[in-house]
Amino acid sequence: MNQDYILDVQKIKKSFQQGDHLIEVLKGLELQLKHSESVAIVGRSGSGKSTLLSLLAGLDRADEGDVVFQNRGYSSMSEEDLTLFRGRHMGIIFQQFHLLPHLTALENVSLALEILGESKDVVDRAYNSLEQVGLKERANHFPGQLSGGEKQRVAIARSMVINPDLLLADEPSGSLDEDTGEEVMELVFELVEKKKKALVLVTHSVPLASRCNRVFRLEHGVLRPEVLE
Amino acid sequence: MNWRNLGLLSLREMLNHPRFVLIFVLNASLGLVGLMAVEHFKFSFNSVLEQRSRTLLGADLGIRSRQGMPKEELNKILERLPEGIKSYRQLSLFSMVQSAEQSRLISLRGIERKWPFYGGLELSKQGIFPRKVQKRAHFLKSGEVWAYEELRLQLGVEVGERIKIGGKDFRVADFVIEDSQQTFDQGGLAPRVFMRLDDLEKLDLVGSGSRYSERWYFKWPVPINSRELTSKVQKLEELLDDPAVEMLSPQKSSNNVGRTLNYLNDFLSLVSLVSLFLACVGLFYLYRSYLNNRRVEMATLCCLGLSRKKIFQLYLFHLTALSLLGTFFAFGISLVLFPLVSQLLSVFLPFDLPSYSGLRPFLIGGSVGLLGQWLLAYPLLKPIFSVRPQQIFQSLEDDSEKSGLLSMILSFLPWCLFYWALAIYASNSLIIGSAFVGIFIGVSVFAFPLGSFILSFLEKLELPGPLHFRLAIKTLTRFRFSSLSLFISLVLGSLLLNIIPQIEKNLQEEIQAPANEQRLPGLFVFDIQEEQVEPLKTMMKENDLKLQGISPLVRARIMRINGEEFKRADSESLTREEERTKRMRNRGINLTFRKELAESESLLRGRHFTQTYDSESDELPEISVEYRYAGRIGLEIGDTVEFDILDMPIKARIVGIRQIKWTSFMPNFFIVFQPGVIDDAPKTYLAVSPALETERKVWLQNEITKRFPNISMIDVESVITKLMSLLKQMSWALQVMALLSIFVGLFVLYSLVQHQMNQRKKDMTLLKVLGMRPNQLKKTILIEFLAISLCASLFGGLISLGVTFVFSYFFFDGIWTFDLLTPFLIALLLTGVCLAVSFVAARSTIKVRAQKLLQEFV
Repeated sequence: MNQDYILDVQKIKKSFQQGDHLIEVLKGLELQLKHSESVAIVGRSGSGKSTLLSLLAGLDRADEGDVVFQNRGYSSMSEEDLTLFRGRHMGIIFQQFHLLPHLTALENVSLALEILGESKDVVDRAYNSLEQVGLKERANHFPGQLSGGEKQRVAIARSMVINPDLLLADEPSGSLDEDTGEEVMELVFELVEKKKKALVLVTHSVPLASRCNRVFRLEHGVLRPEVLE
Repeated sequence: MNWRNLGLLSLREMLNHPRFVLIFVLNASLGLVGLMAVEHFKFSFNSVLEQRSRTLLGADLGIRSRQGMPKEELNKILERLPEGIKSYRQLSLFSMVQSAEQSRLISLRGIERKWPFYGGLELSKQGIFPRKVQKRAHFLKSGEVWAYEELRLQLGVEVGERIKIGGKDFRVADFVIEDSQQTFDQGGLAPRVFMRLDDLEKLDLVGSGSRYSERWYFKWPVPINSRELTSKVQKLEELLDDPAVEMLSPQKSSNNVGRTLNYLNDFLSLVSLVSLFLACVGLFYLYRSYLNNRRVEMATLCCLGLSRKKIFQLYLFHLTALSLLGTFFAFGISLVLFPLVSQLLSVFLPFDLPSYSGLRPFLIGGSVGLLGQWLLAYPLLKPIFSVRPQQIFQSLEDDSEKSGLLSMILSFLPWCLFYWALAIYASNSLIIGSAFVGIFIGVSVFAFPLGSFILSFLEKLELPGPLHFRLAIKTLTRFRFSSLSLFISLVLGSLLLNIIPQIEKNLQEEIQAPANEQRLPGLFVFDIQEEQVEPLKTMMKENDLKLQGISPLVRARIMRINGEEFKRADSESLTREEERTKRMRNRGINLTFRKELAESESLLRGRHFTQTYDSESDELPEISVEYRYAGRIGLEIGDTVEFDILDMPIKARIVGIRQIKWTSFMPNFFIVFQPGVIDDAPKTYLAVSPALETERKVWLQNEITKRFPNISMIDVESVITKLMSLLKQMSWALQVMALLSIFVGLFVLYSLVQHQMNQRKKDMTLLKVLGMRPNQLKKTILIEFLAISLCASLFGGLISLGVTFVFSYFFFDGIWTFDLLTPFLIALLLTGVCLAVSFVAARSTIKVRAQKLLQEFV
């Protein structure tokens, strides 16, 4: 693997059994991502974007090929190693936010650090992360007391607090109105640029995709570079 | 929308959520099944008793006196009976029978040729007596007896051999294999021996002061149905003045036979109500969560034009359909369980029961199930009226109106009242039913704020520790409603599991303690004639034994209390307390006199006698009364009671209320006179022998029987053994029913946990995505349920100590032993089982793959 690349997806294939049929979702997909580079992936519903994201996050394993991240191939790692690896190096932002409803904003953010076994300055770091997304004063509020945009900011704070090398964002503005979505994405890009993180963004939005360094379209199980007008 | 469409909509709702329907219906049916099985059993048993009632009595009606039958009373009845009525007379008493080697207490029956009008005996050699078709089997000749089969071994005699009764020899003509009139009155302590009535009258056993019962039985000249017969018997009983004389009816006979079992059925029904309560807790939680998840749908329906009232009806329909399904399942399961219940109670059953007792138990169980659900429907469905359709465009997470505490309590009130009424119906007792409901609802009501307080405290505490520990505590403290629902269910389960063995242990210890400490008498001796007291004492003394507790027994009737006539209780008794009071009022009374309190007595109120009565004095003679008896017939210190002692009226004043330790098995009396009042009345004596080794006891019994054939004796040890065995059987039956309740509780736990886990699937998966290992997740869940189940089990165990203390204070004269070990062990066992159940329920959620978060939940 080229040392410039933080992520190298090597001809991965993935299929799913549906009844009697075998559905090939990814058919030898390739992708290389440099440090601090942002990549947008567009595609129709059902094209395999979620499957790709699962494989990139190490939540699932490819049938063939490999995902190499930080010079470590997923295929050689155990489930436990992969879980730890993901927790340490990757931040994930979901369309539906996915905050734990019975934890406050601060607790949701600090949870990511606690899962890694960190104990030093956990609360301070969580506070800082919330401050960076403009929600320090809402630290003790529960998700049920926050708006959609605020929830997504907390989710962003959670993904950034661990100082990940790679951010995976699955339609982060998909559940938000246009203005709020724009604000949230502005925040994401600002943080990514400021902290020099690599970003894989799955989106339907052309304007958002165009803000990334490169855009790919997932079609027929492979990625093709997309030229946006 | 019309009813049909509402119904179809609710049916579609059920078909779309089959898992929820299954869990709900199973919960509902398990909650009802215990009650239905007991109702099945009760109906079956009582219907068979009713069918056999005339066989049990041996006649259509009868009249009984506990001494000689007063002629006037008998004539009152005879005058009102129709022409052509047939009758026979019978005497019965306790006596001793002696063979060459052994002696035994028997229940001796003097019968006439016409006995009985219904039913009969199955004899080992002659077969059925009386035979219907062929000519009558050979009736007893003079000098012959028929004895119960068990006496063959006990006395070591065979047919044709001789035994002694009342000092005279009788030939054993046959043994009785089956007696259609067999009851459990004596609990098998005194097997029956039948002889000719004229033979019995010639014995010196029936003398003045002796305890015997005279009965007259009648057969109606034309067929008469039970209801008409009962009505006639009631009218005849109103004519009787002497409380020692009572009418006998088939219904009374069957009530007597079924009394022990009916008491047990009462408690079995009560215990089964615990299953119902636990199931209701579970169902409430499940349905509430279900409705919470339907709020978006409800808001959508509102937006589409369906009124909240219609939505309420829709879900009421839904709830009703689910309850009906649950009831049907419960009926099916109870039919399967019914043979098990019969088997469990077979030791109390004098006959086999049919396997199906009709639809009535189902109707009762069904009514309880439906009505219970409807009464819970209001608090459950009330939130529907607070759904605001405009919030469909926003997050619906926090839109429900929080109802005030008073409003919440009031909404549960109808259900609580229903449950109370059910408990009274199940126990046939206002006191016990109320106490039962009081305990369970009280514990729940107490456990709720206590649990809330503990959770608040834990939340504020911010305990340190590993992540899985802190996450578990946070989940517990923040999903408060589900945590508390689980907590209360387990507290009640633990309480129930602890109460029955504790009460059994307390009773066992109380009964056995005197035996273990050798304070128990060996033989309880009765029917000692006055002139036999000294010779008996001498005989005992010659053998280095002392006759103890020698107490005179004088038969009497209560005529007036405070100047008012003491009438028999003729009205129908609705509760067990009324039944007991009625029995107390319809008996003659045994009196004694003594200067000091006996060792087994203590004074509760007032004073004991200070001196022998002075007949010259103007003061009334003094008596003291046992406190429970006083309560039952309404006596208090200062009251005057007028007695009839063999036609001599004697008035006395109550000066003291006593408590008696009945488990001392010493001669004890409800009413005690001061000396100098009834000393000269005709009397017999009671006494006890000291505790003896078996061989010596048998020898003493034989010796007394030989020298004093009219004296009867009860082996106290065998009474205790019999009592303990009965207690054990009853306790076993109750514990099986309690286990059913525990099973329901565990099933409720399983459904609640599984439901919770389903709700938290997303959270669990998210934790995996964030890097939490499956092991850590498992530990989180285990700690959560360990905390709830251990706290609840221990709490329930501790409360059970308090409950059994209160119970024993009010119902068992304060018999109570402090025992921490049993509740502790039960808590450990219950915690282990709960953990296993919780883990099984949560397992599938833990296994959900992390990538599902990106698919299923989007």
